[in-house]
Amino acid sequence: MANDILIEASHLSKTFKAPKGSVQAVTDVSLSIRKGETLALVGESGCGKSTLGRLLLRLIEPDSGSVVLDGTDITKLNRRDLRAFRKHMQLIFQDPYASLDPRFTVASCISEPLRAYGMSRNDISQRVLELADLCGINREHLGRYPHQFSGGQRQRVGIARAIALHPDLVVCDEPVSALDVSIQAQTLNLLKELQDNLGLTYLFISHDLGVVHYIADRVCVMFLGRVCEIGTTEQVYYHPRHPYTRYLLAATPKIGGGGEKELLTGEIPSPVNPPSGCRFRTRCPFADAKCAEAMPELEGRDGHLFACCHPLDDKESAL
Amino acid sequence: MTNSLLSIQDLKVTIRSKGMEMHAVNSLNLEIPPHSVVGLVGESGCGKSITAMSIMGLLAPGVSISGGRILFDGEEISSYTPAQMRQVVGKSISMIFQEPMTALNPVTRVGKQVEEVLKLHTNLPHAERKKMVVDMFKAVSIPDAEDRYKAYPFQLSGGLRQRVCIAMAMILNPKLLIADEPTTALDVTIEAQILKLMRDLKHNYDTSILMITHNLGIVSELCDAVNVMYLGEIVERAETQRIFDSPLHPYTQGLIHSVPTIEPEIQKLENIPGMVPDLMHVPEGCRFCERCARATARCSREHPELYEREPGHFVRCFLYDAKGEVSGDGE
Repeated sequence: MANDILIEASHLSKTFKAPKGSVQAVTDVSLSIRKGETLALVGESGCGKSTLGRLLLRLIEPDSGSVVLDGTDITKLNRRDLRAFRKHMQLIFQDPYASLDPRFTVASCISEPLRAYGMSRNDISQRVLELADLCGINREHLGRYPHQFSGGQRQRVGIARAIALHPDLVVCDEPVSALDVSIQAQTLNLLKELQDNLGLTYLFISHDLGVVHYIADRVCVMFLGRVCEIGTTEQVYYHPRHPYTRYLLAATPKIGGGGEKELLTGEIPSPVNPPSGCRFRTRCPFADAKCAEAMPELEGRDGHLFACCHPLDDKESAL
Repeated sequence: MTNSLLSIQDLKVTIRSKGMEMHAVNSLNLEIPPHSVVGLVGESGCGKSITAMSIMGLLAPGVSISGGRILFDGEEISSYTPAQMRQVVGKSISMIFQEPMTALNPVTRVGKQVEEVLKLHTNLPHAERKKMVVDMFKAVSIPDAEDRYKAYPFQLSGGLRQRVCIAMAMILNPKLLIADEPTTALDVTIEAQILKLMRDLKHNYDTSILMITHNLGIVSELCDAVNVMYLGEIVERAETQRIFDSPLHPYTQGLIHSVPTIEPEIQKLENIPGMVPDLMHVPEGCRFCERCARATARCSREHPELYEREPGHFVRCFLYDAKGEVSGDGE
């Protein structure tokens, strides 16, 4: 059982310096992802989803905590070893306009990681054609430049580049939020297909709960740098225990929805000066004096964990 | 016949660039009855925003109305001079934009910016104007309205900035509010608050809303009627409930099925193959034919009309032509 865990993060924290104090972007987050699984990170802007994604890839240094990928603690690797290890973990970015070098042809965008890892020229051209077919890029367009491509096609190039080195873990940071719905659906189906065929493991960062429902096996909800709730997609969507999760689900515009719904009041508190105790308490209708005292720990069973002193029961959590 | 608040008749908008002409909007007809919320949906580049800008008289240089007319309250505003248009915009018709940060002036206090609308359209003294702004801030649920009057846009969160924009748009109680993707830049819990606010304002101020969005969930929750646009044309129009219960056009069906939802039963997402062609390569015949699974030879030859399949339910597709019979030449 423990063996099929691909990546395990323990007690990760990261604080950024800001002009007026410091921002606790990620506070004491632990989670693990199994091989071949998609774990989604959801939450609103500034909740630390992207920072956590980057910490897992060690693109930024954590203040404390560790990340173990397939038995190797990547937070302990030196520069050279880390560089060699990077081929196991890749990233797909949100903005397909900004994440491709405008002066590279599409073929050289895709082959850059292959060159960086010293593959021979023949093997590279072979692999680029293979990747183009896998990701639905027309072979005849490989000599073109990114600006000649639409957003959806560019994202295919970004995906081809990310899987070029047969990575184990791919962190997808809002990969479809810049795309139109018809293109978004194509891209999500491509990501699923690749996962089935190549056995990829995804950390899927998104604020769109519909997209997450479609692609994720498990979901982790974050609020202001902390994990509120984590569980299977089924558990989190249909039996949410944390009030924040329930409000997020209720707030999502739905086809056939409408009418009055319960809304969260107020704004997201500033991460520079987060509320004491439970960070959600200033927006939470159930908050009492106890919530201001201490941050609740994550607890629960059957892999469904939540950090709340007033968890919803099944009746309340129904939408 | 026309008791609409806004009536767009046979509108054509042309973009001229480098000696070429492109038709961004093609023979568009749109009616907004009083006291209603009408949705205009479609993907990037389908001409939604350019339609809104035509109504406002804010088309960019090189873009012009090349046919048809726009009637507002019976007046042909599409033939107004810029000076005449300034009397209408901000007072009877106003607009809110997608990105509230770029829609506000970064170096002017937000209260002053909202007050400017009153300065231009009324003769009220300063003290009264200020009171009206503060009251409007309260009406759109901006907390600490007096203090926020003096704030600069960068001091406000995205949700508050959008509330300021809405206050600015609503302060003279316009008859028509055009909202161009007003919540796309906001988080979902804030988005839900803004949508609720718009719904309340519609009730309290009796303002009609033209809601431009790509989010079908928003359309479903807010709009009375929907117009689906594809490549500069309306391809389907009906009451909201009808569109979602029985979409007729293959593009509308594709759009609805490609939205991932949080409902339990979910299969593989259907998708529409290919992508929206650019305006230089508009297909002859039906503009959607290259991406349509049900296209026939006729679709690539002839351009379909907007057929009224059921009373009030229009669709631009040969599958539903004149007699309401499904026609298809060749299997």
